[in-house]
Amino acid sequence: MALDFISTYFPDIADVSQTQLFSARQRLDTVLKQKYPNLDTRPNSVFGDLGLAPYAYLIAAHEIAMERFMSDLDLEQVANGVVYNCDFVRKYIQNFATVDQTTLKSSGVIRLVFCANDAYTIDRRARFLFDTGNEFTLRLANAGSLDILPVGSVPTPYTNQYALKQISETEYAIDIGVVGTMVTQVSSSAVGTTDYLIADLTSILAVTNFEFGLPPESLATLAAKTREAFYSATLTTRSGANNYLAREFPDLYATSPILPGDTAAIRAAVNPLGVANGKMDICVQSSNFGTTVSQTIQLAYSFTGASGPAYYGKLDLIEVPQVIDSIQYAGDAAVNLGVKGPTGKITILSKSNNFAKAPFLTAAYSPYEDYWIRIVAPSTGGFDFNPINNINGSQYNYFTINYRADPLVKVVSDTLGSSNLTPIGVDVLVKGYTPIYINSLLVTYTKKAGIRVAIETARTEIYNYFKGLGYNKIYAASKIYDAMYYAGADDVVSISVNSSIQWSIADKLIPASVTADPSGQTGFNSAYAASLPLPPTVYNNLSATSPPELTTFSVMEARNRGYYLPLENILFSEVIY
Amino acid sequence: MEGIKVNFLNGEIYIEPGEKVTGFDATIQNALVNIGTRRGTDRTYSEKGTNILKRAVEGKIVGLNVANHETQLAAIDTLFFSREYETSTDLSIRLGNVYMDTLSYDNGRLKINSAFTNFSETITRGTVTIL
Repeated sequence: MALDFISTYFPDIADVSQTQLFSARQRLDTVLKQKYPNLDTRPNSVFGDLGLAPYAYLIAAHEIAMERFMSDLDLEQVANGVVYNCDFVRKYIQNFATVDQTTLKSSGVIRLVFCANDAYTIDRRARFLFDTGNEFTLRLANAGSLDILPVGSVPTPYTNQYALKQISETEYAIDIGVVGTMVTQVSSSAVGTTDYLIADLTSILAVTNFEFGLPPESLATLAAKTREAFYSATLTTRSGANNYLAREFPDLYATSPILPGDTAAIRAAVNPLGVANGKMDICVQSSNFGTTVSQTIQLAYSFTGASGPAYYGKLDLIEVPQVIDSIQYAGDAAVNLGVKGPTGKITILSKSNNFAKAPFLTAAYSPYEDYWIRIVAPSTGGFDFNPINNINGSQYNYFTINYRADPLVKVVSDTLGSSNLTPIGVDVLVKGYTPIYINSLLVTYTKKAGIRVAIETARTEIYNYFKGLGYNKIYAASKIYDAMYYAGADDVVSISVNSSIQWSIADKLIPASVTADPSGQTGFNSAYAASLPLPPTVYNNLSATSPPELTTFSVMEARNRGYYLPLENILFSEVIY
Repeated sequence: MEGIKVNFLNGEIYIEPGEKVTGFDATIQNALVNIGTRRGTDRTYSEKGTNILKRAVEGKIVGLNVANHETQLAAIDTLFFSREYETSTDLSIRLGNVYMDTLSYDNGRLKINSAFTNFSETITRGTVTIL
């Protein structure tokens, strides 16, 4: 149906002011007089009252309508929430490609769980369904089908190959992004189905709460994005990268490209001609930051070795880990395995799997960091649990790793790793922010007599604030003050922080010169001996203006600074005068 | 100045699309319409019209003195309005004076005499018995 301009844009009669009517009548009179100089158009004249007056109303109303129409074309107005015709504005914004087809689709991350460790191929046209009306397809960055490889395989670059990860004693899985249509919210852990027959597939699970591609209320936000994104949305500049990611991944809370010249750009180097190589680190953080992932892996047992009886193996994690919550014996979670650390009972080593692209700690929090673990058997004389004997004579056991991850980091990394997207001469590395792990955040406050402070409300508010914090959003103590005031506190006396920089989830870093495979006891001990310590650096100044922290292997500055604050680490102290 | 003619005959008022009124007569016709228009009924010109009709139908014109008073006010209002929004610069067309007085008052009908003089005082239309 054609646009009904009058009902869409014309004002109510009451909205046309006397001044506007009078002005319109006078201007009409002036125009008419050019052609009919003798025509009596004065008030009380027949033509003046019965002709000119109604026309003046139409002109005044039309001018208001045109003003409203032009307001819809002015995206600053739309960004401020002034919209007269939502359908038109939505289509108009599409001209700027701010809401291209991909962004309009809902998106999420699913886990395909298999009961066998084998190779599988899934047609990219396969549909994945969650309840009625929620239909998704695979988000594959490269041409062709999805190729799933057995555990330990190395995917070929610029292909859709994904290696299975062991998640329990009998289950193997991959996490992969999907896009599609969502009618009702698909929540984390929802079970899906597929119309494509896949052998050994035991379940399809939603890893994250799925994101609606284009919430109906986001027109003003889209207009604001359009104003920012109109000029550039490619990976060649900082703002271009931000705009591109904002378009493709609307559920990203924060994106921070790091370019040569930035303090944190330690991957960048200058060639003999004095030209800096094009390298861009992009730190990303989504609304699913802090998602709990639990994975059970098999570790080989060795009776000998410098640490005595212990379990060794590669930590083949399905997601890029941000924080390790706990490591437990799968057979009995109550068994105390000891402390994790460089000299603890549990030690994790890390090494870049691509030194050319991401050397040393630049690989941290990216898919380019590999991990190996050693767990000292938890008893010196008489074991709390015995290793399982394999038919081939080796011994092993299962351990459960509980960790926090942002599932979108890997999806963004896979997408931007596509040869279709990577700009020529620019090496893009997607990773998570380097987190400041906050061991305790103590808020000391006062309250008026008789007032009950809603501590849990304040705790949740502060937790959510830190969860979404990443450059270019910077830490501001005022948010904590606000949370406390809303919760009923009279005043905030102080905020005390005890925190440290977690350079990697690993305890030690294996240099490139070490060629031994740390999966076994011999290789691990050899790598451990040559590895470099990664002590958590005490860093109690959360402010974005605090100076960068530099180590031999990495740098943390405002652009790659992230925060991780567990809910239980938020403490309150009430002061009574 | 040319406008469409409005006939005021035998208590009837109607537009004559085929006839026109010109010059100072057009101005007088506008003034007569203004006298009979209720003030406040035009959104563009809030001062347009007079209160004489409104007060008459509300029963507030009680007695000859009040009737005289209201007609004088209507004359002044009309003169001021015409001068305010006159677009012609021709002094022979512009309204110079409006004279009104009560011809008869019989509790059911108010008859008014009126006269109009142009600004250059060269034309006077109508008669006023008591000035």
